[in-house]
Amino acid sequence: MPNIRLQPVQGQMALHVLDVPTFPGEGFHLGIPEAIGDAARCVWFGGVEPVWEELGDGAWRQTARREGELSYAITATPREDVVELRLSLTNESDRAWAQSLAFNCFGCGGAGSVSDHECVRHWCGSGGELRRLIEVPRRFSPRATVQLYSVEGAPPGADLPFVANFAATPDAVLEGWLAIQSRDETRLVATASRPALFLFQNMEYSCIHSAPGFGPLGPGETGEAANLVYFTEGPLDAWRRRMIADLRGD
Amino acid sequence: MAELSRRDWLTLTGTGVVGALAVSRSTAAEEGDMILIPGGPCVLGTTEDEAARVAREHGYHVSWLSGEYPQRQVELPSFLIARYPVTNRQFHAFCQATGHSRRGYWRGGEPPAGLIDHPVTGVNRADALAYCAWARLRLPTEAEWEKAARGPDGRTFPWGDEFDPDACQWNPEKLAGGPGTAPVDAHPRGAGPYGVMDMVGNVAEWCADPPPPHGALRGGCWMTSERLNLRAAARNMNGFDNNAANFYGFRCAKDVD
Repeated sequence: MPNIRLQPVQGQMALHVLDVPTFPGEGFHLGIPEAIGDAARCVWFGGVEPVWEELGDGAWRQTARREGELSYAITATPREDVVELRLSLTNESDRAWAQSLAFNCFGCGGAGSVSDHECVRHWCGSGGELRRLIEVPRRFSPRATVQLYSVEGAPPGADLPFVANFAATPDAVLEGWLAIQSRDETRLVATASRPALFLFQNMEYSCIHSAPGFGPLGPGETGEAANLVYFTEGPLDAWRRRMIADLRGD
Repeated sequence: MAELSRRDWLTLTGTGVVGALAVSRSTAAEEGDMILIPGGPCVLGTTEDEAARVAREHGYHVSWLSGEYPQRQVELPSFLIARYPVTNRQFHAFCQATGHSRRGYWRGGEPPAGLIDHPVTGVNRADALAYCAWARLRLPTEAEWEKAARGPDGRTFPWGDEFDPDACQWNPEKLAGGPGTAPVDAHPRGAGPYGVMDMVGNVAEWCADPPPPHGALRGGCWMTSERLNLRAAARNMNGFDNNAANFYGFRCAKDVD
């Protein structure tokens, strides 16, 4: 199979994912990142004007800097059925960041074969088991379509200002990925991070997020993380085994 | 006020008999009619027991319905609400009169002929509010919307407590593109207790609340495949005020003078 094609949006923290062999004729969108930096004081989408640079073989690198706050680089490499995102974030402020993150959005609303505004084909994992997201507790908030979840091994979402401010975090603790199965149940899209700090999904746009966390970063320190975005064929359990191996070998 | 015609008077049976007055009116917007929802008590939301039953039946955790409970009874003053959602024809008249931006799916600035009496879509809450201001109307509150859909008895769907697959425009086949919108009068079996039409399915309807930046959207839409999301009490949809999705529409309301 040929590789996926990536088309960055110059000057924006955004990337179109096109010519996906497993989803012919459909387009996806990555908001990478929609927010980044200090979990208590993020730089939001549009807050910096990044530069996209082509690296060859269809890969691109995004770099951006906000004076006195942060700089970051994201490399996006397309494969046959996955886009690998490698992120590095540097704290250029004079504050110690208790937690840091990249709020990466994987938008599926434009892909009819997977878009799922009712969450009935959304999947997650907890305790080693696959679960439908609609079976997991959620919390109603003024933004009723939005939900956030804590991740196994990461700080509780309620302790993260970025997450708590949404007032939509239940006590559920999940593995660091979310997936949406296609309507024909033969394919799926998914996002998984290492390390993952929290999960987010928004029914309004049918988007899923696995937010990479960079941990605590002192002034001048740099953290690294990975985010894999899948467009695969086959059953969920086989994909999950592969994803775990991919992240372990990452 | 225009003279009332025979068809303006509705007597519909719900769990009881509800006499509702439909008022013909001529606005700057269109010839569309408004229905008087009489003041008085109504039931909003769902009991936790009922929510648990519905959630279990559909495979959802009950907390996905938590925006609906506790069920409560409220008193609302009389108000008028449009019988139908705003159509492409009506929104086009508004655009012509005001220079408001045409919808992206129109061709040459005109709604496609086949969609002229379908609800307008691709409208954000600012578009809806601009139309309402021009028509000297307003958006219904969530409570008003729910009362108009459920009546004083708090029925599950506008037409009763049992789901009727032919009473609304929804996506029973779970198709990727869905069935799209339908004319606003395509589902006469979907009439609500006061005679308000097309409240469930077709387009999700912007409400006046909550305040910006997010507005509630009620009623499900043509993409909805899960029956529990077509219940008139369902509250799992909202949108950024500036988001204009192809399944968002609206209907108008008005205070009673």
